[in-house]
Amino acid sequence: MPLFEKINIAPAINLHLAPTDKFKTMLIRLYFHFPLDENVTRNALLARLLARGCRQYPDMRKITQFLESLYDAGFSVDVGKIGERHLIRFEFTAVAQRFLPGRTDNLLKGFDFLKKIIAEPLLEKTTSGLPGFKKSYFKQEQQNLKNLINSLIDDKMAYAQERCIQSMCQTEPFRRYEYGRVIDIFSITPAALRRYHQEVLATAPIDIFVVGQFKPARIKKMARGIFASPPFIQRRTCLRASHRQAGTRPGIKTIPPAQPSPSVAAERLIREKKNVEQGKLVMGYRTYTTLRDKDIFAGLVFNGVFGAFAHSKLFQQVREKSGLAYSVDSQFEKIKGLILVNAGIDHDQFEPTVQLIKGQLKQIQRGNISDLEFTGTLKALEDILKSLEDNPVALIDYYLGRSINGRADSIQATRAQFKKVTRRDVSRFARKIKLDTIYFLTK
Amino acid sequence: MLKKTNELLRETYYFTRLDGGLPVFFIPRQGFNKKIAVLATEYGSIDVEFILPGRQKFTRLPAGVPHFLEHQLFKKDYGDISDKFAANGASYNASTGYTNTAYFFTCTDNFRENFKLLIELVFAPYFEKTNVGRERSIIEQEIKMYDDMPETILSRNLMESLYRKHPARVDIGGTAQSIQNITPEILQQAYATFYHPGNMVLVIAGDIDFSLIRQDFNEYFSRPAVKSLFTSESSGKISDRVLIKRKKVTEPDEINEFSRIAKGPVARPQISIGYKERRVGLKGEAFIKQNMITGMMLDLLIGTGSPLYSQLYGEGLVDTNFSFFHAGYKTHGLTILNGETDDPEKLHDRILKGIRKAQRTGFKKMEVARIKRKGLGAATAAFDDFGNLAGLFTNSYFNRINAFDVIKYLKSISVKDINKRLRSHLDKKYHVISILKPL
Repeated sequence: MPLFEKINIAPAINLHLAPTDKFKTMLIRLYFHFPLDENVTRNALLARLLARGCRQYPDMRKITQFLESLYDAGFSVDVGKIGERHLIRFEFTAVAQRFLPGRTDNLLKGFDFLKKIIAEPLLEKTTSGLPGFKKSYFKQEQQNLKNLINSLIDDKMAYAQERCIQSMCQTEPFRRYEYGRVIDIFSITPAALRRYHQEVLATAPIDIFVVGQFKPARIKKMARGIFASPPFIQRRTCLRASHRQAGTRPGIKTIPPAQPSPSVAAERLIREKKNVEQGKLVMGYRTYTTLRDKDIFAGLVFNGVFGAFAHSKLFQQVREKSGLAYSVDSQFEKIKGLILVNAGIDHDQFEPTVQLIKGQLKQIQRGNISDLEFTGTLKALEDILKSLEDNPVALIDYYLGRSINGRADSIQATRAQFKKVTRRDVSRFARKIKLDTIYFLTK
Repeated sequence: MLKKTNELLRETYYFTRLDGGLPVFFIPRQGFNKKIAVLATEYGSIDVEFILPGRQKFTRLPAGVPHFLEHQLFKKDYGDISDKFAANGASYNASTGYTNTAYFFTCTDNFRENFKLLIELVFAPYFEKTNVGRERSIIEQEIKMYDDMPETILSRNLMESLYRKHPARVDIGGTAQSIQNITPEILQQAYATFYHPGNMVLVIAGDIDFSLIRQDFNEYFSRPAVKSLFTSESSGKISDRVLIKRKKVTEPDEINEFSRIAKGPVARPQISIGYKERRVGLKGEAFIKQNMITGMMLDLLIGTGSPLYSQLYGEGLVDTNFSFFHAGYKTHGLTILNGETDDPEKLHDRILKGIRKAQRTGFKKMEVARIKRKGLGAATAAFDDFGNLAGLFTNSYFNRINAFDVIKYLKSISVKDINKRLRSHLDKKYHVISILKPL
């Protein structure tokens, strides 16, 4: 499968194409990029409102009927955070034309549909006389967003992780929850959100990924037709054929890289009481390493030895040898540079579990790494990289994460980097990381 | 080797039987790095009472044995077989359901080595007391993890309300109490009954030379230690077929109780509405078609394209997290609708009204045509995902249908089929509600 071909179609608007006939479906993913700042709540509300409908497809029924008529095309909108960057993601999927009767061009329809959803929302005149989002939708989505934020507690492990991050990164942008804060929802108005929407279209960096069977020239032309025009770029008044350019986007938002982690003075311990059957333990480590650093490869191998897999020390010691947990693992947030360890344990096993986990890190620091832990990790990482080409969504995630960190490493190059990592590198990495916060949700 | 091709999907599969009578499906995936193998047995949590090999009378085992067995098969006399999969860089796991248990791995390299491990995982049982004790405490934590999930509490209450006797009333993993009674002997008994190759199916997909797979399996299976597991004492031979006698479940059509209201650590109320299946025991095509018809009917009734969903959303009674599904199994089935809402009673009332209205008017030809298009697209897209693909073949085999025929069945479904099902299945008399309110 070819790698993505990157085409700049307007300032800070890039198209990434991977033509292939390997899959029965095709996929479009479009991302708006934002700094992870006080606008997270606005972004989350905007995403929900745009998903509600547009002028041509004014409600969910019309949207669904359109998608069903394309043989189960899929559409979704969501927000997410990677590092200290906030994203609004639009997705459209459809079965490739060659498996369907008739001659409709699903990819063309998908692009047209996304453009309408993104740029042609349902508007109403507000009391101030300015246009705003349709009021009835606006009120419902304020309520729905509030419910969504409040329901985080329903998933106890996700709640525990979020609480750990909040206190660990209390002075950094990374503390922000991707769906924002309830207190910020109700100060937004339909007119203010519409103004913000226009600003977003004109100034947010945009990445558009397409995977599936198509002729690149056609998609490039179509994408230019949509995104190298208003409202994504500024209208140019005197445009002579000889001066034809991509257009301008004054005021493009730049998104700074994640703030470097501060040094840890002392471990912070937080216990929170809720009605839970099982205690949820989260331990937040600072690694001082992100995708921008060469040491990230040693870091990912370290995390494999430590807790990412079932052969890792955490699963083997905490679960298999001690029977303290069913679920225990460590996750590496590669763009902010944090490792979070999660475990579901009995309430009275907090101390022994924390000691056991700390002990595993010490073992790695001392160079106590078994053949299975080391080679098993290298092979598992290799397996993940090789599987990327079989999964369009995973492939896009991989490239997105790398491209925003200024790395254009091919899958091949990444594999080669992992092969260079030695056990000594892993131990050195283990000595570099610092435990910042221990959070325990208990009864 | 049997070869089947589907022109529309542009897919081919091969079918054959390996030694011991193990049926195997092979689906070539040229151009993909990833490979998958799934080995599944028709044994799940509802199989609690059956006749052990060589016995005459029924034996009843504690709830949670199939799931415990699934955990325990990874443990061998030398340690955990997981380590060997890990050394090859494979991803591996297993899962237990109501009616079957599946073991699987995916990998990009070393497929043959991993495949041999899968065979060893399933066909070299080792049940030892200390190991079993340690696994029990891990499963206890697993059960507690589920107990912290609102959906577990909701669905457990719903199942207990729907069923009077059916073993599906109990969670698939059993209870913290029932697993205390599971011993190495019990695991051995269950294993001997259900892990005969004739009761299992193997599904393989990937860019693989299949002849080597056959060779590897038959070589492994010819080992005396393995062969002896499945040799009948009376004839001294491995029988290709196996006859398992399960105690018939006598579950009435009637529900057990109408409602359960519980309190739990949730942000706002959640409700589950369940309809009990009365048309149970269907087989093959009739069974699969009933499931497809019900899924389409529900989508038309309350999917995001329906007037009912729009109405409920407009009233603020449902949100995008509203979900519904129908699931049919061998001896039970149900339809479930789940929502988070400030007013569960009102949502319940509105849904019932919406159903009555739909039952009066029925769905139109145009609507059904649209939903059939959707079904066709979904059936095609399923082939892009290795897990879905393997699941499709496993389930098709256990239901004795040809996996490619789902498209034929889909096309044969009529407006009348769907409207008939709408009026019969969603009968108020056979529905229950389970509500979870904040503390």
